[in-house]
Amino acid sequence: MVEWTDFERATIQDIFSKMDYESVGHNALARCLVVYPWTQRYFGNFGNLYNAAAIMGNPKVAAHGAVVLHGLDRAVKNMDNIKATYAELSVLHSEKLHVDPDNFRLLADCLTIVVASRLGTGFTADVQAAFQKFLAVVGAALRKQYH
Amino acid sequence: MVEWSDAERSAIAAVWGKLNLDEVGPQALGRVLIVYPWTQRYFGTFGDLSNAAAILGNPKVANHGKVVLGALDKAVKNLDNIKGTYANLSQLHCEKLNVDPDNFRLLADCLTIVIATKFGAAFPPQVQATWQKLMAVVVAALTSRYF
Repeated sequence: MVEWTDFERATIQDIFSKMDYESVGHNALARCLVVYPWTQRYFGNFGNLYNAAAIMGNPKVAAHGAVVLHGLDRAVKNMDNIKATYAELSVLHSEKLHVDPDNFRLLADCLTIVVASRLGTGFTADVQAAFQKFLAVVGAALRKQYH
Repeated sequence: MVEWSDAERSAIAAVWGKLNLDEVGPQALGRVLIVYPWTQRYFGTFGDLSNAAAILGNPKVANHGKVVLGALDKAVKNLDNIKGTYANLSQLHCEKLNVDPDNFRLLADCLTIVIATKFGAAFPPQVQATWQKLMAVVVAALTSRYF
């Protein structure tokens, strides 16, 4: 089971309590589609993803980014049982959506960059370590039901 | 050979021009040592690395961060021949320093995060994509003499 220090718990709660889910989710997913263009293959019915401006302005990208971020909320509220919390989502991503689990890390990296750019100097090294640990645990939980 | 568009060249020059290397180098290296603690094994002679405050206040870490960022300048000024520019450094990291090349990516990631904290909204997806491309080319060049 994952052990969380008091600092790590407080940091994760603090970051998410102040987060604008719609804006951050939109930004993180859009970055993923721009910086790692092969990820666009999962969104064939999203319409125009032809260039960065199109991706940033695409309403389906914005909506789906918000969906993903709100999904992260469940981990934030169940930090001591992230694996079980995401068991169904893991099965969904594997069996129905056929998402290569490497992509969880790519999205996590883009989300880290968005949060870093919003928090500025408030995104200290300790905060970065806690946030990346949280996203690593989330990624592992989403990967869990794949094999 | 790596192709750089005009837009990519100016984006890189713009980012690089705004960076204070003496500030950003120490911060990026400090984060690597904090967020990925196994990297401390390469710096046995650096003294106190026992916690985040010690690492961020350590003058040898700061100095070495400046050395590394200074070396990155060579890539920025030789975009069309990064591989050739880093041939000797690659050999040094492999044969003398025995650095696992996975660590180059960790430092690149921390540098990208430091830039995101400083630039905020001025680090949009297109710029992030260009910057990460530069990081990937640098990492590949530093790895090129390993085998």
